[in-house]
Amino acid sequence: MYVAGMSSWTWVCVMGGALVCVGVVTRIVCRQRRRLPVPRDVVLVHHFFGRGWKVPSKSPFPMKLETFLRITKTPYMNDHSGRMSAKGKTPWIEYNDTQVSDSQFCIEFLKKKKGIDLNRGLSEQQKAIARAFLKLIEENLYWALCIELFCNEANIPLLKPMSPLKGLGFWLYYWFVKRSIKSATWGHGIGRHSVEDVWTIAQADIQALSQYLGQKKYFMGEEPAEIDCTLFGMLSFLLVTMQGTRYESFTKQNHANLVTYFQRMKSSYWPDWDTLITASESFQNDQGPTHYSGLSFILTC
Amino acid sequence: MISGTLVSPLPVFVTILSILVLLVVLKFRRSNGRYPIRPFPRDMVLLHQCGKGPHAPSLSPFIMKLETFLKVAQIPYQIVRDYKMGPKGKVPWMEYNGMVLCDSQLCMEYLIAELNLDVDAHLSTKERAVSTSFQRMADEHTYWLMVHWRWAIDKDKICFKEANWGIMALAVSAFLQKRATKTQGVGRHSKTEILNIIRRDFEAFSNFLASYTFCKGTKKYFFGDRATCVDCSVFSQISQVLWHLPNSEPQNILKNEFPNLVEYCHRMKDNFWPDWNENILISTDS
Repeated sequence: MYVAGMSSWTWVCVMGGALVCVGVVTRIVCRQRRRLPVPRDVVLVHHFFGRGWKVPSKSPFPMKLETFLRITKTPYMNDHSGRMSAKGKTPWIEYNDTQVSDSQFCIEFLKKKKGIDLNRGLSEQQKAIARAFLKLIEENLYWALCIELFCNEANIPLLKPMSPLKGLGFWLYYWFVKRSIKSATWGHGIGRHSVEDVWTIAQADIQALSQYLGQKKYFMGEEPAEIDCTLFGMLSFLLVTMQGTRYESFTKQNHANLVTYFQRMKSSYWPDWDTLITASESFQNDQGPTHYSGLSFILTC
Repeated sequence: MISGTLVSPLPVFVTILSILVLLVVLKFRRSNGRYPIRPFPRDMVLLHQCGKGPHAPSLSPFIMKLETFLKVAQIPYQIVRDYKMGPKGKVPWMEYNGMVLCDSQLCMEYLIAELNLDVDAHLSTKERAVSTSFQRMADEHTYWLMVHWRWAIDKDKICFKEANWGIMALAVSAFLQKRATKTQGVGRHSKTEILNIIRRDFEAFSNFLASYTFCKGTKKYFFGDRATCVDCSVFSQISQVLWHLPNSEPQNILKNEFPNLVEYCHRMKDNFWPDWNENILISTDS
């Protein structure tokens, strides 16, 4: 069938392409309009996923970054509009017109700008160990947790309440996220293992963290270090987001010191936890300049 | 004006369906690969791997890791250069008394349990935890930095050419590895950022190696005078930079700023690889 000299298939392609272009341009314009005004010397933290159902962030990396800001009492505010950085990574920050992406780069940047160093009390050997554990958590354990949560069908009932979409939308969301995780972890290598082999790998990681932590107050000793931000972020994912999974049960039953450590960090640095989770009745949206928890937290310390 | 040529949807549909069927068949074939369990020698590891590297026994750090472990633990083994991927599409993989295993770390853990090896038996609980963390850093982070450098930043790829890789193999591998590093994360960093991150990884290895708290006897290896599993991982990853990234910035950083890591690699090579020159393509004095 021909309309205006073009076949029906050509029309389908043209209309589809036009709709995609309109959608992309609209999203870009809307995000530009939603750019938040932020005062000088205040860090603007960009979250892609917004506040979580039971955890202030669905991803451990924004939790890591925000925990660092809280421990160092750095003034900050949050942007939950979902803008991605130029590198396509999240979270990312803006500080006095400078953009930095990748949670670790953000921390390194702020250390230089603010002259703060949580690792100043560590020896060179301790810094080396801390870095090794940082990579264990972020480059190995994190992927194992993602595989368990999204690729083990036994955990689908746990995902449904925290999914942004319900009904058929949930299944589309689940298929898309599972496919993304599988693709990412296939290239990484860990995704080539069975879910059970990944479970074995993760147990070794959790055990290593527990054994090194021991009965210390913080991971490296009596004072918090950078690694505590990372570990706390990942434990919030493991113990809260993944509550009800065998990973969480294994940690609680066999490595209770990690649970105690998590509770201690949460009490110390996230006293407003319940106001930052959407499942709570006392949830408050901390988007924008009218309410930023960083300063509120500082005023109450 | 767009000309109106009638395009039947049927050939398009058949093409798409054919591609989908082909992808499903390939996936099924990969998931259920039949690996010949040939008549095997008892109590000998058959180590399946690819070709020799030009200046180190392999261009793959994981092949070197597993083979170094077999040497450290003194496990009899035989190399099978069949260029076949293992059950999980990875190499190295091994056979042991009819058992087929893939992934260097899982192979090591299997052999330790099966043969009741004492490679790490003398380590304390805390030392084992630290050992695990350095192994993860080497294999899951330093590795990807090296991969990104050799496939996305190094344009010459001298060592691959010396190992007789063809143009098609280089092109396909470069495409796949660049996509993998971008997904993993390191591929999104600039060259300067990559160098800084590499420097920090080397610094961590170097400082721990030089420290004495976890020392038993003289500090030749990560935990004293006995090589342990973590030494196999760290040595294999750093060896790729030392021997297979010639005249590169990472190699310069390694040689100029962390000489104890260079000495460490030579120590591992001298002590556990007496057959080094027989397993490389181009023999050198370095």
